[in-house]
Amino acid sequence: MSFSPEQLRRYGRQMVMPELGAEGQERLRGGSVLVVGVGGLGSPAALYLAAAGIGRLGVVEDDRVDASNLHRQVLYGTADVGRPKIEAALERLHDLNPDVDLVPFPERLRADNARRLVAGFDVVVDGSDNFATRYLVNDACVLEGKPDVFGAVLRFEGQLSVFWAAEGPCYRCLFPEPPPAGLVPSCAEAGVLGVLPGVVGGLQAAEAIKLVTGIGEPLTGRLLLFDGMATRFREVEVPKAPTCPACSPGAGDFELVEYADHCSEGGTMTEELPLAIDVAELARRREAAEELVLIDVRTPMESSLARIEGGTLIPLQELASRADEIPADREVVLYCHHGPRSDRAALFCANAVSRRSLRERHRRLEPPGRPHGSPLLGGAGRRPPCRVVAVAAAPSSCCAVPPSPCGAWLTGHRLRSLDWVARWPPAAPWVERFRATFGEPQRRGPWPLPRMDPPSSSCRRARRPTTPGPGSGFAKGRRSTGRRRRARPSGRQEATANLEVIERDGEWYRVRARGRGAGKAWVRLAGGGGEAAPSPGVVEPAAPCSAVAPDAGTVTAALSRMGSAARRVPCGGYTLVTDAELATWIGLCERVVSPLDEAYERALGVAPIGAPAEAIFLFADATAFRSFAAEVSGVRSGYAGHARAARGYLALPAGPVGPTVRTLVHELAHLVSRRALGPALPRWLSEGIADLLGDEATPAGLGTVRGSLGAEGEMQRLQAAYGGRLAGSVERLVRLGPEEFDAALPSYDY
Amino acid sequence: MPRCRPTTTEQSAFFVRYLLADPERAAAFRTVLRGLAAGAPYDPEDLRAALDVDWGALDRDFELWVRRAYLAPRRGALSPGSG
Repeated sequence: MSFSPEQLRRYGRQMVMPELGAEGQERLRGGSVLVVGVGGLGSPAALYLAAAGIGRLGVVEDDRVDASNLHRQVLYGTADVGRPKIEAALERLHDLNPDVDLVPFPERLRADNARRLVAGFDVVVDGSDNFATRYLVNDACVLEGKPDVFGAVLRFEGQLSVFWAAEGPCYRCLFPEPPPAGLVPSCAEAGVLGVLPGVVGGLQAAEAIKLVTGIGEPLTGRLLLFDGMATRFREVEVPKAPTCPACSPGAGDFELVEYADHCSEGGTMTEELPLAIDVAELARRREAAEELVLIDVRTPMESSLARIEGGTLIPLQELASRADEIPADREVVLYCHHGPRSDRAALFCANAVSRRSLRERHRRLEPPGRPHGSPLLGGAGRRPPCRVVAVAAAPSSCCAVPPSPCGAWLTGHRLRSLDWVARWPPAAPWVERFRATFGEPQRRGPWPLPRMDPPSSSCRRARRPTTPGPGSGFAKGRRSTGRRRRARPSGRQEATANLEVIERDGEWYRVRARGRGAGKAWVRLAGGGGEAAPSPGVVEPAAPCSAVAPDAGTVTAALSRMGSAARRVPCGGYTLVTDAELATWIGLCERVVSPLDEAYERALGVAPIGAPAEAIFLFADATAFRSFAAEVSGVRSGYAGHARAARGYLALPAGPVGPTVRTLVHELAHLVSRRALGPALPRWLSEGIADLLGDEATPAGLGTVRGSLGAEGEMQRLQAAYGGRLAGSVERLVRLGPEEFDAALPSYDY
Repeated sequence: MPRCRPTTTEQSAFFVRYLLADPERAAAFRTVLRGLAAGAPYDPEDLRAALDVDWGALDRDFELWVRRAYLAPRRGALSPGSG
């Protein structure tokens, strides 16, 4: 263990730490790391590993430097544009630390070389930018028993973990199979903040150094999530999957295959919708003066950078609301930057018409090369320069899919804001549709009060519809000195007081009675709901809300949207109805639902009442989810545009794991609250319980929500509020009704 | 309309935590919850009466608890380092 004076000067700042010391530096010198891909993630990882004095550093890379790489791939400079990355990278790394033995592999990681390359190093740092390589790295590491330091970035978010089958889970324990094509956007589509790969790549280097030197606690069995917008780190526990196709005892030894042939990258939507034409053909047809309608489905920002003359900009997110701008009698060419968005736009249009008739009206036009899909969270990926998807007609029925934010407004509590919503042009048709279906919101009574039983203890216990009888279900004494005295039913009487309906949720009505027996209550009018006004009939007092299973129509609507891939999976006490292929989601829901019930009872001391008959509808396709949310009635709004929680069920699109998991936990907490406390639960309390349970449920395996509640952002808002004396008083808070509470809610964006 | 817009969500979440943090408050709060679960209509006065405190005192105590539990100044912040 000897170091030259120059080496002592170079590494002194880290050798002085007792945890590392000279022994750790010696281990670094004797260690080796293979960096697969020196792009956004691999650049900082390789730089820090070289700077730290790793003994041998292998680099796998076969790409060339592009100008679009420079904002995040800090190994390269402007002068390197066009050069092979591995050449430029080795020059820079050698300049940084000549002591390091640099081993270049100017090739792509393939099935026939992966095991050989991985076997020659102690640790593998995965800096790849596509699913094929990512799964290949994982599988090769499993077979060779090497730790795989995983990193991924997209937009402002990053992920990090150490997959090491000998010590914990592997990548396939978390994601057994690649996601469906188009589900995960690439950095080229969604963008990435340049510094994000620096943060995650630097952490990858730190993990690799810890593994080589044996210090600290490696990130095995944990997935670290970084939210760059909120500057927030969270952790998810990742257990070893007993049925993992790669590292479980039952998996056995297996041969590596060329994953590019199997991963969803090859399975693009275009295969289902073979309508693509290439740029050259588009140019030729335009030169031939063919009448084509060009629709640019990129963002306004992209359009401002470069556009095709004569094209009309309709961003993909606005396509549903602006479908009437697309002529139905002319051939339409949809285009974007890389292809997936125009694929989705074309599929969106084609979904509403007969696929057969569409084919008949089109020539089949193949793209100029292998269809491409979404690369893994990571770098920009390599793609054909451009591709165009053409459809001949944009059916007017495209409008059947609403713009996403409207559903929550139209079906939620804010019924009285219909006019306000209608002023937003995209929402106007949906306001009309809502009114046609449900009529005008009934804000004021009087409504006839049917005869009913008082909320006696016997009927509370029974929790069943009561027969017409004496007394008032809303009887409540006048207040005196702050304490409430309940009125006793005094013999048989006909309740004739007028009720003012102040809120409606499906068959449930929140009513206010004035005068004697004043009070508010949720009641359910039998025979109510739908288009007809509820008729007087049997009233169920504001009793505990027993679990309400989604009606057959709701289930049928979900199944029809999901198609043949729909499955029903038991999830604790709930039923998961999903077409998502990701077994991860199913496992996730199983881990969420049961501990949530337990956490509820533990925290609040009130056991959930009734059988947990709720269902979770998890849609793999966001368009199908929105369509479902627009179709079913009685949907109660969750939060802005993302989740729809209704009494009895929860519908969610299977999106990115982090935010969707939080939404799932939050909305499930609302469902549990309603099941236990009934619809009389005030909204502020429901919110508080949902947040509390999100926190409480963390130790039970819901690590995803750890730190998201009561975390920095909320703290800062609360601190600013109290510092500036802006916080509402507790009294005002607890007196907020549902409408006021909703109006006072800040905009949630999961 | 009460002016709680910036903090309603946070305040409700932390208020539930506040209620559960103290055994006596938690017992009173759970009594109210059990009443709700049994079908009683929600009335803010029920909660106040169960806590046996007036609104002003509740405000002050809650704010103090939030400050002590969550808004204490950070300690042991990392030094900027020498680079």
